[in-house]
Amino acid sequence: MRRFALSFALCLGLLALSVWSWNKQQSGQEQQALAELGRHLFYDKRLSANNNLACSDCHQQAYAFADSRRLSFNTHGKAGRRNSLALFNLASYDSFTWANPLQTELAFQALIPLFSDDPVEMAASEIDVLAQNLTLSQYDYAPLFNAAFGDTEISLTRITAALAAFQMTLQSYNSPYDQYLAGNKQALSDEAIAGMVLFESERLGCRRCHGGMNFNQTLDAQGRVQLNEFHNTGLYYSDMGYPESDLGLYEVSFEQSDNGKFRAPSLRNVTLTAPYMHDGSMAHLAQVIGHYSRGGSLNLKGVQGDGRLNPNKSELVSGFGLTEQEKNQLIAFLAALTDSKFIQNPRFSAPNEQANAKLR
Amino acid sequence: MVTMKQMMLVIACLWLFGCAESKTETVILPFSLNFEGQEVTCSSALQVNALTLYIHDLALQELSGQWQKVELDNALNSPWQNESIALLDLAPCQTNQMGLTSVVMKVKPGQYRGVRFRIGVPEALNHQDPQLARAPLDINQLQWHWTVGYKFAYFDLAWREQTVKHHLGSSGCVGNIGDDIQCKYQNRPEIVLPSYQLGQPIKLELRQFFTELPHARCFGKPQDKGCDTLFNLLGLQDAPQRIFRLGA
Ligand code: HEC
Ligand code: HEC
Repeated sequence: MRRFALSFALCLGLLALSVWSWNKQQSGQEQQALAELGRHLFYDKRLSANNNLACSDCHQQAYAFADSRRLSFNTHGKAGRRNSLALFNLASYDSFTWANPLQTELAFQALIPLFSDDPVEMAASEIDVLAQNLTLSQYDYAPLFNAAFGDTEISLTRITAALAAFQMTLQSYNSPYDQYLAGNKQALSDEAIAGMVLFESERLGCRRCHGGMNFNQTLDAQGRVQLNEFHNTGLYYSDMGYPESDLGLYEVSFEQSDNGKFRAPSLRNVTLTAPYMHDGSMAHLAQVIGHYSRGGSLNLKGVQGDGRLNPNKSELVSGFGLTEQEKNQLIAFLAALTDSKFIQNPRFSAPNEQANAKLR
Repeated sequence: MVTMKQMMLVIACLWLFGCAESKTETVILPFSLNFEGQEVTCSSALQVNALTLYIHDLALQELSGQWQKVELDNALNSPWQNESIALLDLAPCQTNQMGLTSVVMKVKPGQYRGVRFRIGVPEALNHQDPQLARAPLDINQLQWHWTVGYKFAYFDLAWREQTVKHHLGSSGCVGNIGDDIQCKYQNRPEIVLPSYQLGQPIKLELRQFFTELPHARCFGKPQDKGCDTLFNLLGLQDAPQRIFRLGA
C-alpha cells in the first residue's frame, strides 16, 4: 500500500515536471518569437511618419544602441533635446529615460518615441494606419506575428510587447572587466587595474552613484542600494539655474529641489556612447573626469555660470585632485567596460532581408 | 419564501422605476469657435490647426438651483464618446475629424438655468494603460505618455504669424504605471455657464489666447511660460474662466 502511494506520488511528480518543462520550453519559444518580431520592428523605418526613421537610427548597435550625435534627429530631420540612451541590461534600471520615475515599463516607454509631439520623434500614425503601413514593409510580418501570437493581427500592445522583448535580449556582460572578475587576470592592463582602484575609491566616490554590476545604482554610505535616485551633478548654474531647455526630474515632479537632477546611466560600453550627459554636452571621457574632479563645470556648452555653485548639486560631487597619470588610468578602466562582442552580435543586428524573404 | 405575488410586485416596481428613469428627452449641446465674436471658418484669419477637448461631468441646473447630472446619449455609437466622456474636435474644415462638435444630452424635461461640465479625463481613467483604453480614450495623439495621462485640451492656433500651442493635463505626478499615480496639479477646469436654456450653443472665444504673447506655449512643464495664460483663461487660477460663452 505504501509502495503504491509512493510510486503514485512519484508518477504525479514526474508528470508535473514534464508538463512544467514543456510549458517552459513552449514559453521560451514564444518569448524568442516575440523578440524576433521585436527585432524586425526595431529596425523598421515604417514605424515613423515619413518611413525614414527606425528605433535603430537613434539606437545603433555600433554605439551600444546609443547614437553618436549630441542630440538625436527626428523623422523631420530636426534635433531633439536629449542625447540618445544606450540600450542594454535594461532590467537593471528602476525607471527609463534620463529623468522620469513614471516610466517603469519598457513596453509602455516605446509609446514615447512612437507618438510624442514634444519633442516629435517618430510621429507614428494611429494603429490602423500604422498596421496598414507595416504590410508594405521590406519585412514580412505575417509569419512573425503568427509565430509570436498565434495569429497575424497587428495591434499596438503586440508591437510594444515585441519591442520590449527584443530590448530585454540586449545583454552585455562580456567586457574585459567581466572577464577579469571571472578570473582571467590578464584581461585588464595594469593601467586599467589602477584605474579600477581609483574608481572604487572613496576619494573619487564614483561608486556612490554608479554602483552595482551595471554602474547605475545609487548606494548610501553603507553601500546599501537606494532606489529611484536622481542627481544634479553640477553641469550648469546660470542666472536661471539649469538651462530651461531641460530641467530634468523637476519637469515631472514639479519639486523645485529636483531641478537639474538626472538618472546616472550605466558606464558599461561608455567608450561607445559619446558624446556624454543628458544633452550630449561633453565630447570626451577626459572632459567628464575633468568635470567631476573640479566638482562641477564652468560655462559648459557656452552657458555662462559655474555649475560647481549650483545649490541643488549633489554633495557627492565635491571635487578631488587627480594627476594626469591617474586620469589616464581612470579612462583605461572605463575603456575596459566595453563589450565588443555585444556590438558584433548578429542576433541584435538588422534582420537580413534575404533570409526573411526566403521564409515566405 | 418569496411568493409569486411578491415577485410580480418587485418586477412591476422595477419596470415602473425604469420607465420613470427613461422618461428623458435628448437635447443637443453644440460647440463652436469664435474669434473676435465671429464664427471661425476655413477662411478665417485665425488658423486652427488643432483644437480638441475631453469633457465629462456634464450637469444642468434646475430652476431651484439644484444640479442634475446629465448622461450622454450615444445612440449613434460614435467612436468619440461614451455615456460619461466625450471628445470634442472643434477645428473647422478638417479632413481627419478626431472628435465631435456637439454632444447629445439625456435631459429630464423641465426648465433649466445653467449648464456646467469639466474639461479633462476623470482621475479614475487618466492613468490607465492607454493601450487597453476604450473610446474615446484610445487615441494616441491625445495620450500624454511621458506623464502617463491624457492631454485634456489641445490647442494649436496661428494668427498673424504668431502661434499658440497648449497641452493641458494633470502634472507633477508620481507613482507606478498600472498602480496608483497621484498628481500635484489636477488641471481639470470646471466650466459653469449660468442662464443656459436648452438648445443654446457654447462658443469658445479664442482672441484672448493672443493677448498675452509671446508666452504662448504650455506643454505641461514647470518652465513653460504660457501655462499662466492658459490656466488663467480656463479659470484654473483664482479668477473665473474667460473662454466659454453661451451663444444665441
Ligand atoms: C529620434 C531618435 C530616437 C528614436 C527614433 C527612438 N529613440 Fe529611444 N531614445 C532617444 C532619446 C533621445 C532617449 C532619451 C530620452 C529621454 O531621456 O527623454 C531615448 C531613450 C530610450 C529608452 C530609455 C533607455 C534607458 O536607459 O532608460 C528606451 C528603452 C528607448 N529609447 C527605446 C526606443 C524604442 C523601442 C524606439 C522605437 C520605437 C526608440 N527608442 C526610438 C532617441 C530615440
Ligand atoms: C552624485 C552622483 C554621481 C557621482 C558621484 C558620479 N556620477 Fe557620473 N553621472 C551621474 C549622473 C546623474 C550622470 C548624468 C548627468 C546628466 O546627464 O546630467 C552621470 C554621468 C556620467 C557619465 C556620462 C555617461 C553617459 O553615457 O553620458 C560618466 C562617464 C560618468 N558619469 C562617470 C563618473 C565617474 C568617473 C565618476 C567618479 C569620478 C562619477 N561619474 C561620479 C551621477 C554621478
